[in-house]
Amino acid sequence: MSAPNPILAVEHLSIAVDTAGGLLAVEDVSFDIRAGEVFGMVGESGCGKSLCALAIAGLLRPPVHVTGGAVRFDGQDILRMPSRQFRHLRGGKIAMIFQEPMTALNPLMTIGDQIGEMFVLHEGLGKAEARRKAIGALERVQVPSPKRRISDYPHQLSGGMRQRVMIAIALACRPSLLIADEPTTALDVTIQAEITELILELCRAQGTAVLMISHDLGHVAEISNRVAVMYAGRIAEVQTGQAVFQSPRHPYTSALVASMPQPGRRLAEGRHSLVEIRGVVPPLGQRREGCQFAPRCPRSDAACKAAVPPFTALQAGGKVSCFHHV
Amino acid sequence: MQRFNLNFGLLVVAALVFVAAFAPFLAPYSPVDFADLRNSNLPPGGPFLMGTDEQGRDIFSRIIYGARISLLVGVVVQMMNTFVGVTLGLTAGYFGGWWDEFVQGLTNLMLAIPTIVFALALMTFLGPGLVSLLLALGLTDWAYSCRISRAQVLSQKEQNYVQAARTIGFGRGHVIFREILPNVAGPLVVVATMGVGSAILAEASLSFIGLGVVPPTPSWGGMLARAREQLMVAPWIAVFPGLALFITVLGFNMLGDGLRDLLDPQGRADR
Amino acid sequence: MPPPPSLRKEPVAVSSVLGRRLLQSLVTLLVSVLLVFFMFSVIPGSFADAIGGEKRAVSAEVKEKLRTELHLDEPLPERFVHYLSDLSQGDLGKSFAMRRPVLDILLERLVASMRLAVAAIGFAVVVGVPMGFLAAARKGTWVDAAVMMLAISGLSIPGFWFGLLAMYLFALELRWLPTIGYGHGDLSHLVLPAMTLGIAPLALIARTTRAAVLQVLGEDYIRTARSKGASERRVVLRHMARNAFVLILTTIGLQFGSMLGGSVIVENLFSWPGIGALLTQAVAQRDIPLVQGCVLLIIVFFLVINTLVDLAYIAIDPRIRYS
Repeated sequence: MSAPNPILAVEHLSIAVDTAGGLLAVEDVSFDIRAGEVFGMVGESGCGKSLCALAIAGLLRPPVHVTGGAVRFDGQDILRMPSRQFRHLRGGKIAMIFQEPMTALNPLMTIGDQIGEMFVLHEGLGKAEARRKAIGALERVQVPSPKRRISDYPHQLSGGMRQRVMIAIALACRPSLLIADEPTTALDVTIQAEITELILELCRAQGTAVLMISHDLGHVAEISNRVAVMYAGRIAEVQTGQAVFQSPRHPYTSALVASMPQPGRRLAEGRHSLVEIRGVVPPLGQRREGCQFAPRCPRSDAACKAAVPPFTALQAGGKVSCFHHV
Repeated sequence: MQRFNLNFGLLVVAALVFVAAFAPFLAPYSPVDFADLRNSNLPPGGPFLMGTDEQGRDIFSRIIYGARISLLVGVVVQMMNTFVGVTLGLTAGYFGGWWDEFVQGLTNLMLAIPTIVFALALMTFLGPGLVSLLLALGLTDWAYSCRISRAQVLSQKEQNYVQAARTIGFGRGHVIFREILPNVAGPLVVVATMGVGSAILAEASLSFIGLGVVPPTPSWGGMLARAREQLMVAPWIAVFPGLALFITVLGFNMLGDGLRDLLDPQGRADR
Repeated sequence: MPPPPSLRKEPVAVSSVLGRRLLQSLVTLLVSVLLVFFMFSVIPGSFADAIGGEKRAVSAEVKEKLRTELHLDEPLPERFVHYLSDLSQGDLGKSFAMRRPVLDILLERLVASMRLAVAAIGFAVVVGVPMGFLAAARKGTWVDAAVMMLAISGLSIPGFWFGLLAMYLFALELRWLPTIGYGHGDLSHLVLPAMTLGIAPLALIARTTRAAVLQVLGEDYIRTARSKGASERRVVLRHMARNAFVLILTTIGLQFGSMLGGSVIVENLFSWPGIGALLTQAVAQRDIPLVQGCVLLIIVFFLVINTLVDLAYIAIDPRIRYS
């Protein structure tokens, strides 16, 4: 593929939780994100997608650590970078939005100060200048009467408004990569689409790549150029947004798609009901040798239980980690 | 760490109970009668493990007997406080209305006045002595258990099992004391355990300023009051009763800490 | 042009929050006046007995005169009205033992008590807050364990025993500091009593600080601040410190507020001429007007400090300001 240079390349990333045994939460995760691309990452809670996001932003806190692999941003290995240098990238070039808008903002600081801090930190502006630019940033995320809102405190805003403020903070310095960790999960259903649209629109306009993390495959497939599906700490498959939904290659993805209600699709494919995936995701302490999905997988055999399936490159682009992929 | 708290606390409390129960067998001398002025202010060692006081009494024996007063005061006072606090708290939370307002006002007031001040004020007309001490301390330090039981009732009141009991037609008393109280017991035990420690400390404090247990009854606070007078000539008198008091209070506090961690692993060390 | 809503909202809300708090304090004050009055009046015989006292031989004639003077012959509600109206004019009655207005005696003693309380809370905050900070920063290490052990010891150690030991070590052995007394108000006399009075609040403040810092560090907005590229120093100073302080302030206020009463033992130990020692003396002499005055003063001090803390909250925390 003659793709543009990746803005972000994650190579064999492993993340562990320090406990008595030292549990591997994320293993051998590799993917890249191209400039301006929307890259989706899907998986059930506990599959390690949020940990990947935090690792890329350098925000993992003990007892969670990166134990192996590399994260290259614009060619630089950011995990081995002096922390001071990484700090300038963080917020400036790599920005992040979190799931919980209600608690992600400092309750004792005005909206203006919290947005303005970005300009103080990354553009060296004074307080007045930062405040002026904060009003502009608030305007861009379509908060009504930004000049007034700028002096408000977080508790005076609704959840949707707070998430807009978070977006304003994240995009304030026109980053090259925005990591959005389930940005709409905590919001009212009615404004979820609005917020997603706002993120995508602003990022498109300023050429920011997006790593969109979600547990909702349908939603992510729809808005992403490419999607990585994660299961129990590993990537199951990576495909384009369209392909992952229409022709999933990993049995887990197939099962996920089959378990979703899809208007107009049930009859065409002769399915009569939603298909449930048997069994449960193995908890962190109870992962096993070989493919983690094997116990729940209709296609699994002895090979699956013996070794982790290597990635097979797919003809149409993408990759899948399965001995018996579709 | 939590285990350590719990175990240390249990050990101290068990030791205190043991010493108090078997004081006559453990103490080498009489705590009061052995006044022989030739033996006054002897340093620790020899026949007197912890030395003697200015009247020639064996400090070790007095500390052993002092454990009785401490334990008695601690337990009785805390039982009184828990009874008062829980009764007020449960009824206030359950009935609400003006009674709740009144109890809350009273609780605020109790919190505004340090226990020792309130106890002192009561002792103005009760006079010094063990009984007035028990009354004064037992009626003044119930604010926390009142608040806790009230808050618990408010949160439990709407829970299914309480609603269910009420729907089935159980009376108010039954609902409060048979359904709600057992669920409030956990946090109360923690507060009460620590409360025993503070009661022991309060008794010692009052005895120290001469308004508590009347000499010659051996009490740790009273012994420390004498120690102050003898600090220049016999500093060891100050060491051992205080140490006994310190370890005892520490034991109850650590037991309370340990119990809290045991009962509520999330809400640690926040008080 | 009308002011924007967010600005117009503020003053109204502030005054109503403030008003509510002040009203609460006022109610508590009134209830305590009532309580203090009735405690000493209703309980049978206490007043009349106390005038006589066991040691003060007073003739029946004098007793009768005193009864009239103190309105003891009037019915209770009238006496309470008298008491209240006297109180509102700053008349707390006359001390039985000292034969002087209670208010004058209290005011004389207040300075010494205030100096002690301020020094003690200062000591507790200046040492306790950094200790708690340190423990939180080194959570799970031996430093944390040591600080927590010190804290629970500080809460358990009898203040007067600590004071006795300190007095022996620093005053008698090392001779660095004076043993007891007020001196001529010099600082060296203040050191030991303030440390003794401050030890328990210090321990409590250290524990609260540790819990507060840990709580705040786990908050999402701290992660947000880091995600902005703020340095750890900036995260701590600009985002964590103020939020943690909000949580610690209540404890500091409560500790300071109860210090006037808490100083009873310490003042006796160090012969400090403050309210606490006065109260002890008044209780021992059954000097009821003086006891009443001391208790009222202690309550008022507590209420004033807590109202000030409420005011501080209104200034610091916008959530209170607007809610």
